[in-house]
Amino acid sequence: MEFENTLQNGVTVVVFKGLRMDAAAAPLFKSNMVDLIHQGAKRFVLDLEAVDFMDSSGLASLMSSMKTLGGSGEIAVCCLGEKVRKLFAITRLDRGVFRIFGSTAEAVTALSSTSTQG
Amino acid sequence: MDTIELSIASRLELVHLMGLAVRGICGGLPLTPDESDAMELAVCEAVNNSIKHAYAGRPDGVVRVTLAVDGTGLVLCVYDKGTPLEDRQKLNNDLAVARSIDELPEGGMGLFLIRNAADSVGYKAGEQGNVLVLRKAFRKGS
Repeated sequence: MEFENTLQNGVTVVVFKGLRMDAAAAPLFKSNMVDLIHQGAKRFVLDLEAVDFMDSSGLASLMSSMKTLGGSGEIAVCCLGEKVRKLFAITRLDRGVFRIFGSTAEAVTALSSTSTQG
Repeated sequence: MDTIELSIASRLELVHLMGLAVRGICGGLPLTPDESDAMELAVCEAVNNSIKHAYAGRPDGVVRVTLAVDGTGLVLCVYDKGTPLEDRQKLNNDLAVARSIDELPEGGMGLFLIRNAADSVGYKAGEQGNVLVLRKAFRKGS
């Protein structure tokens, strides 16, 4: 499983490069996020454009990362395909839990303008 | 009923094969693309549960899936021979909208997604193992 982590305007952009964010991939994603959080990153944009399939383990790894942040940062998601967008809607995680953006640039702009640093 | 049986070893990295197989079969049935996607997700969730909870991550188990089809619908069964689900109430739990980070659920979503995909869900544990049964009716015009 590959991730691409870059820093853009103080926001850490994580590009998930696998097709499936599932129970097999979730532990590696979570580990990547925990490493970044321990290095001091607090604002994240997760680019899920490549993801064709996500299950509850993928979602749980996102929520676990949010809990690791402990309320001192934010994880936004962007570039969701139709199936992944529906999953966020069915599980009601699009109701204020995760901000969802159409593009990475849009998400970075929104998060870089928030007051949280890192 | 026409029936097909599929099985994988209890390894998470194999679950996507089961999902793809079930989606492929559903694609040839009178189900909408959304319904086929939901069934793929449901079978992956069910097989994940068998591997993670019934077999506690042990890779030497087998998860078997059968699909039986007639003119009215599909019955999908997921079998394992691991530890049975203790809290059957989990099959009926709804998902609340989280109002804070602490309320974010990290478990229970899989069974919610399984219920969302099917018209009915049943579970039985016995000497021969455990089985989760999903029923999905074919709608008119699907």
